[in-house]
Amino acid sequence: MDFALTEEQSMLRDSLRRYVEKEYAFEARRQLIEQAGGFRRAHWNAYAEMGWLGIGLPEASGGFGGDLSDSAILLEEFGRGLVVEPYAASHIQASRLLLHSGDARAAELIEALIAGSTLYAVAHNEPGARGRSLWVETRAAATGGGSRISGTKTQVLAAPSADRFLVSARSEQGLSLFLIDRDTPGMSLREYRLVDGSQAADLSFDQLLLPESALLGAAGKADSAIDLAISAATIACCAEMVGAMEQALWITRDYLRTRKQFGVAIGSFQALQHRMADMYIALEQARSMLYRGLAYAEDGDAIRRRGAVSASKAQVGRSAQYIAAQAVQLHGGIGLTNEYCIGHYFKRLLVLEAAYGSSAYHVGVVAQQLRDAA
Amino acid sequence: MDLRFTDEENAFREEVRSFIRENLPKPVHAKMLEHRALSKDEVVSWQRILNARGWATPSWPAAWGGPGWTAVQRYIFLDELHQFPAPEPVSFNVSMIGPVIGTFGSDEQKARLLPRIANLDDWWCQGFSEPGAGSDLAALSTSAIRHGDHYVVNGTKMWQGMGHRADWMFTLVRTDPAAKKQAGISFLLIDMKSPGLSVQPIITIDGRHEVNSVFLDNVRVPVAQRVYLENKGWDVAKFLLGNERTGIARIGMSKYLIRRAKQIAAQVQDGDRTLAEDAGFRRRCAEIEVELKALEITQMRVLAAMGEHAEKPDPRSSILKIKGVELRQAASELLLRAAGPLALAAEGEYDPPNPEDAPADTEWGSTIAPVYFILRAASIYGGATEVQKNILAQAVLGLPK
Repeated sequence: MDFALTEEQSMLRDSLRRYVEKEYAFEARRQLIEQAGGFRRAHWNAYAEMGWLGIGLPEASGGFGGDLSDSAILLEEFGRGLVVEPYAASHIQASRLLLHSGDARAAELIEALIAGSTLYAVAHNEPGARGRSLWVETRAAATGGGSRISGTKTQVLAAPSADRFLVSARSEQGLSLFLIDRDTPGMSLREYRLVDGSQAADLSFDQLLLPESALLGAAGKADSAIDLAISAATIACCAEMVGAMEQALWITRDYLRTRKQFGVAIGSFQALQHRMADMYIALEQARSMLYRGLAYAEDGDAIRRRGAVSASKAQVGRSAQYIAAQAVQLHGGIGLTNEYCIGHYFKRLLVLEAAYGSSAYHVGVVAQQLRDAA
Repeated sequence: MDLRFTDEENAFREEVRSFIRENLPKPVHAKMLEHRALSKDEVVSWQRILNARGWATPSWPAAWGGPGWTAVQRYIFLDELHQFPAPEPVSFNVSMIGPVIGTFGSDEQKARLLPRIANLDDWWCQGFSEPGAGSDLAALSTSAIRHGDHYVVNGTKMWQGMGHRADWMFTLVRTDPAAKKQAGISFLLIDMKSPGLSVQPIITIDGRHEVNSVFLDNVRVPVAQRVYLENKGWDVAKFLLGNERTGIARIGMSKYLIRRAKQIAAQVQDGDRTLAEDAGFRRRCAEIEVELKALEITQMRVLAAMGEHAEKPDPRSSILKIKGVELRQAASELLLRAAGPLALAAEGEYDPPNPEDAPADTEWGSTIAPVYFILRAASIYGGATEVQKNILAQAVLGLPK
């Protein structure tokens, strides 16, 4: 095993860090959320220009090769800087859906995604899913050549800004994916912001008529693409969480070294030192499970992959909840103010912990696998 | 970054596993499965089987007569022993005094002692703690006063694990009472047969005899039995304690405890079904197993960052000690939960008179509570959890001392 970054990976990390520190400084980020609705297309275009939308994608489609561990470097930096644009959902998950769709147009579509000219939102999550990766109640029915779909998708990240939607729906043949343009008549969007300032929407379809060309890949054969895309996005989300919780830990450490009470730096108190030690252990355990998840996220054996992804999200989520809450606690009153950064880490981590299934859900998956194996 | 075991590493794991399967004496395996105590002969003969294969000293480089394994190989080897379960080589010998002699010993000490340590020709125990020096080890007061080519040693040492079986004790003594705490300490090797040395058993809450007190009453120790420089013993002690931390995650041991808990849960009745069907029980298994998987990678990361045979331990190895023990304790709680009332009979009360006999289904219970009891010690010895947290907070996180 080798845990060291390559020289190229270190350079990538450094340039990401510089960009994020500049573009997502506290005040700039506040404006992005309050004035730009939590998504700036200019940022997305900048990612494309920097080549960040080609990371981990095949060279044949204009990508830079590599794999998800390269993307994880980007996501850690995005997590560290509280970037609100949803790279894991709009980029990792969407690109994998296209990549694994088996559709003849996939290479061309991925090229446009890498160029930043098409921004996708993945409309898969439904109110009853709560983390279940293949839970789809949206119905698709064939109608001479095309399809009609009906149902509701919830918390579709980046939906208010997206050009196109990748929508999952179930027919008698099984799960299918549809490619739907934003301006398709008959589709309704209810837009809102999440507690971390990121943007989302609920989508509803009532007998929405789609042409044959909207079908991505073969009808009823999308299970595997959806599952693989969610595995990759879940581990990407873990990377973002590790970046965020690491930064929250060091911000808290710096605060303990400077904040004085009773005439001394509060970081000299053993009760607080031990809390910091526990947070550090939680962080390292989370980082280990991120690495383990990266080793399995694109494994072809679905049972093994799901088990590993769930174990990773379970650990990372639990560590994140602990670190975020204790980071606020150790800051005392200032940790509760909207004008200070730590509360924003707390909120961002809350949203990421819930994304792709909470840690409570994923512990349940691991427990179920134990039962199946017995 | 490469995050999976290589084909060679997987093949090595298979090689270790088949060696254990073919060479571990059956009665020893039966006792290990049941968490029963082993006799001295059983421990010695197993270590000699490993030594004949060149595997008794997993952490030693080839220059000391060790296998010269990588950190990953060392981990795999111990993991296989713990999971089988088979006894690990006596840690006082191979993880503690061996590396000390190899690193700080004179050429004469290396040539004479290392082969005997490896083969368990001499069984070693540790003479560090004292009644007044536990976590504050440097407060030790056992004195060694030099008379020509001898030290005369007086004092009391505590918690000598298997001290009643030991031939030799490595110990910290105060050679300069005027110096500041850590500065006046030396590292001595003491023959347990020395006149004036006596051993007294301490029976722990598991009802077993593993630890002892050692009394030193004008014990004469040749100066040649000092390791490293006079008054520089603290450097040796820090090195040794750092090694102790790194090896101590013992993930395979937790894996075996969980395996046994699951086996029991699948047998015992819990209302109208087996305990294995209980969602709460399975969920707790899952929680511990997730943390263990994480710790497995954390251990690899710490070992990879430390480099091979580093003299200075990485302070992050405290994570392995804290979390490894926490999970072993959690796994023993799961085992206790699985056994339920069957764990409550005192050891020996319910067991067959001959411990060599395979126990019947209802009799395994009485060796479970002792495991649970004695694991409480694991968060106290080798640097208590609280001491490890101080190390992390100060040496890793840079909080004020």
